[in-house]
Amino acid sequence: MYADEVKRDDEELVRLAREGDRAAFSALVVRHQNEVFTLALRLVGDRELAADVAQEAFVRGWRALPKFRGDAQFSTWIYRITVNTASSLRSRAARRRTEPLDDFTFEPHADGMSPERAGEIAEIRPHIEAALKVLPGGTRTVVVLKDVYGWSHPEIAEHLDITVTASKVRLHRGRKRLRVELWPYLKDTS
Amino acid sequence: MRSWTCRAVWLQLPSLDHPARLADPLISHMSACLNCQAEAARYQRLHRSLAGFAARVEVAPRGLIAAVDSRLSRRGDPGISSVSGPATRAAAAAGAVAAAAAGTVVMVRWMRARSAA
Repeated sequence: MYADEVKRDDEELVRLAREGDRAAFSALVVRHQNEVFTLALRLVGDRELAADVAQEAFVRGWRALPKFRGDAQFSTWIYRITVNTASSLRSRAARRRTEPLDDFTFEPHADGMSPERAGEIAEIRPHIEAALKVLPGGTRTVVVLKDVYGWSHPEIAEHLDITVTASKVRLHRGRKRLRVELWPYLKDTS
Repeated sequence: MRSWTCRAVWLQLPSLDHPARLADPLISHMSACLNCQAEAARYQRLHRSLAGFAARVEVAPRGLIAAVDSRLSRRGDPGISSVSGPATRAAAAAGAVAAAAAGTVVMVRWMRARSAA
């Protein structure tokens, strides 16, 4: 299985990186940078800040490697670091510097879904992205983790340091707000 | 005009991952109420669209690997450096090539070791 191969490769690279092999860690960054950046982008809703979050998450990941016990996949572990990093960096966003984005390249692509579904999502995607930005940061984080990444409420609560009830309340509010924001695009159901 | 039962359904729908998880009396109501069915369908479409995002991956900015590498190389981490600043951009190409090459060497070394084992 491809997923098993990837997991085994990650395990080997993590083992080497834990021994101080920076090249192995760079290989892990190469492998996971797009997914980490994508998660960060969805959590903070800003490409420049998302790039900062991804950078900081990998640096924190390198420092925390000695504590990585390997009971989760590296991808799961680095995603969790990314969630925590996004949470802390977002609060500093007002103070962040502004730099030009002229040399950035973004090439979104869709994998593993039917053309019909991909079409439906492509049609509504820009509106959802805009609507997500309207949500307060904490609410958006819960909606993204639950509805996009399929995390459970207990997992979200643990990583955001909130109660399960608070996670459920934020999800309820977030979905209601999205429904209002996206009303014209949700009418046509099939 | 919506009934009390409609309002109860509409109140609960945002908390549910699927309308089938509504309480029994509300399920029976929904099977006969077009307004509630339409509202449930809106949430279903919202769920499908959000879940579909998981498969979409954005490409990270080119300077990310170089920026991470540069921070790990420096003593006393100065903090986040812009991945789009002129200096980083200049270093990015060389850094990215070096990181990718180093990663490739590690992978090739490891694959050889694995095939030899």
